[in-house]
Amino acid sequence: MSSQLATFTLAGALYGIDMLRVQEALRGQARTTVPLAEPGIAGLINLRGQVILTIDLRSRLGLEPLAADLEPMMVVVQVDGEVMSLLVDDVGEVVNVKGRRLEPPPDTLPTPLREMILGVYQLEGSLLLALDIERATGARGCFSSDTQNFTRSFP
Amino acid sequence: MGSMDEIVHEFVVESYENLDQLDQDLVALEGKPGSRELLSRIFRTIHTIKGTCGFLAFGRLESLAHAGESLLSELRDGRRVINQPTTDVLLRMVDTVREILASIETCGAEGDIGVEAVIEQIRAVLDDAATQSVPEVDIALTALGTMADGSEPTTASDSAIRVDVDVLDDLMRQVGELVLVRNQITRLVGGQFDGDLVRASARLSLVAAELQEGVMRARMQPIGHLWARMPRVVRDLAAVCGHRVRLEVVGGETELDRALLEAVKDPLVHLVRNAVDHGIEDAETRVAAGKPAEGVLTIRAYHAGGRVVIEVEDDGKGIDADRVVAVAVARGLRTPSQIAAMSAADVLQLLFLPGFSTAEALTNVSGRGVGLDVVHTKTEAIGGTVEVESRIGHGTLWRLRIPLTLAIISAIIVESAGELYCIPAVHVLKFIAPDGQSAGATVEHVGVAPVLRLRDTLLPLLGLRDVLESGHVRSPGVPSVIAVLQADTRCFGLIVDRVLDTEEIVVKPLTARLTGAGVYAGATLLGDGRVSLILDVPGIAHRSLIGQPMEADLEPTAVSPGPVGAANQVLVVGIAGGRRVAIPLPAVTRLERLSRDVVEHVGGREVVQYRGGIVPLVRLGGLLGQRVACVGEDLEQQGLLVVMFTRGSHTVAVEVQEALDIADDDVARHSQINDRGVLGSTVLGGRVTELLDVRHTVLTGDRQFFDGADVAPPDTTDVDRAVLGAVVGL
Repeated sequence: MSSQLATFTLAGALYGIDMLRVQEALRGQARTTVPLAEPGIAGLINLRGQVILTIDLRSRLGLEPLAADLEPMMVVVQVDGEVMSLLVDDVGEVVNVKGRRLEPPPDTLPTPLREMILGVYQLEGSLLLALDIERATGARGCFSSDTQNFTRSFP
Repeated sequence: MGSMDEIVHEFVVESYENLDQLDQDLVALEGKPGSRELLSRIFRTIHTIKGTCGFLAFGRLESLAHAGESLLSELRDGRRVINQPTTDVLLRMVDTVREILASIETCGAEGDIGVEAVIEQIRAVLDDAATQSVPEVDIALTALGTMADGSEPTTASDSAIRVDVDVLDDLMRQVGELVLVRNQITRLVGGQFDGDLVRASARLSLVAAELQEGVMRARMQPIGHLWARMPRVVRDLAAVCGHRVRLEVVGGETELDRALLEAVKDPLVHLVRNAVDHGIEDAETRVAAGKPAEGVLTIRAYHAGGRVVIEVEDDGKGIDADRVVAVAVARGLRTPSQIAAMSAADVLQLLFLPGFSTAEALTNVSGRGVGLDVVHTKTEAIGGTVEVESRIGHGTLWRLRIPLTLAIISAIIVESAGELYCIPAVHVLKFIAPDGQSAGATVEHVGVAPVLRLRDTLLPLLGLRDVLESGHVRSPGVPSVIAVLQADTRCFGLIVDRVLDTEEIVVKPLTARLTGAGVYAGATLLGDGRVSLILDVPGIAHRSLIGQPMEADLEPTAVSPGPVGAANQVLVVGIAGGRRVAIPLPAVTRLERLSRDVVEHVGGREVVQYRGGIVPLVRLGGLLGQRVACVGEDLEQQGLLVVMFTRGSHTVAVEVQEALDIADDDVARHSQINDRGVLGSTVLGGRVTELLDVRHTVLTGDRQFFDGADVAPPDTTDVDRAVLGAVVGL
């Protein structure tokens, strides 16, 4: 992981992912829903002729859905060689965490969230949660509609 | 070093191509022993290989090619005539060259493939010169003949270059994108009156269309590439079977997208082998039937109706429809009453059903685990169809219809619950507006299941909204449009809200996470740039049609009583998803409850230790397409409930969720929906219950279950009824 983290907000909290993973940020893309897809899959978008899977991070992290009148933004990332887009509330700045210590996620975090966090950086005035992008997007086959099952496979 | 690897790679690729041609030429040479043209070409190929390996320091390959070259030069110079032993040894040389090339390709070195034996054989043929000397006159004649033939055929290599397939795929993708942008611009320009803009847009439209066609053409390859190896396949196989077969090929220049060419290869080889092995009779039988001793196998390719048609035809004994019927009934694939309602052509289509392939028809030649059902599935996977025509005593014709390209398909855009979906046109038979009183089609309800009565057939009816679980919130009334779809060998109706358009769509692959559900085959981009999902019609049929609550009496042909003693006892078990499955009790050997710890893995398959042996475990839920549910704590403690099937020394354990009942099953009440693993369904105790295809299930666990000495089927006395009762009572 490089020391540059691209940040975004979800339900008021600041999250970060490795800058090198991020391809671009988008807004206002028409999304096609995919019936029968596992929860957390928010449909497909057309990214310059490529069909791309969209992941609803709020749903994956066990957070409340975004208010209907707010439009989410998308962060396009590369995970396991696949390009996908993540639904986030808003896109933030790039934060350099060089020299800062990655602390283990606090025990008070609810389970699905806790499992998908690598750790926490303390910034001036706020906390930055470093997201485990593989788990959060369900890459490497650890995607499951059943949260219970999910936590069981990562005790 | 990199450039060296590249040279070697190029050498391997080029040599493979040349060898395919060589196979063909050598076999052709047997028919035209004097052809100097063929001989020169063969000689040149081997000479080239020899020269290049000298340069690349592949010593073994060089010495082998050298030996072959010596023999060929004698043939070419007319110092000997080709005969069967010579052809055999030359073909063997070609095979060995291939083996060495394969080794070079994988590990970069020749490996330790023995060439001495083959070289020895070539020497032996060479030393046999005395008997092979040819009169001088013949040489003069052949020489004359060659001159009369004119110059040798020009090779394409002068004006062609080799292009990496990835580059072509990339181009294709980009052109697809361009076409979409073009569509978008055309739409935007639609409302404009600026003459220049409209003209520029029209020109863009034209250029894009031409470019698309050009790139598609670049991906095309003549199908002749594919059957370059067929003469060899036929020759070798005919020799093994002791049949005399002449191969004729027509239309080798017919072009097909290279991805399709690859996909159609196995089915075609299978059909050819099948024809040589089973279609064409041996010489005596043929002569006795008044036919020439030599059978003729024709492979033909041509364009028809925007598709490529490939035919494999033999003039052999034909297929006995009565035997097909007998086998289909014996295997429980169809009931006699169903067959009575079938046309003659439909009866032959039964050959493509999974599980049809008869054990006695399997020989080591064509029975290589690839049944006709695989030919069918593989052809359908690329949007093609396969059909068969046969006349007893006159021969059989297999016909594959293949789309020209995979990347662009014709699809029908439909709307359901506000979203647009694409249905590949190849699956669509027709559309029916039920409220429009179209040609004798009515929707009826039998129980809760809607069916479509289309003239005199009943089709199961599915709502796309139900399939996609997108809710019933649509304006009340009858369904708007029913698409009559065909997948595999069955038809069904799919209710959609609206039919919009037919379009040529560019198929985009979909991540496995979404295709896993078996409902989507891919995605595409529509004119407005939106993503639209392409429906997987066979997948939907598979997913939704089994276990549909349909009762026996709804099938007009099924009302006749079944075989004598129609009421059989069945064990009713439950699997995930609340589904109930009936297993014929006589087939069951035992019910056991095992600890979940005993499940182990052998080579990726699950096994259990049972009575000191290792027994394959089949998960019935998984087999019948039920998604594996998470095991709850309570079930975890209860352990694993398995139904044991034993035959001789073979045992297979089939895991079920619960044993529910033992019931009397009335065969006459069976409905005829069937699918892999399920023979049909019936109503037992007021609940729809699927009938297990025991044969298929057991074979999934143990392919050899029914092999070996014929053991009497498990007797009911073997069933430990006490145990059975005890478990059922749990």
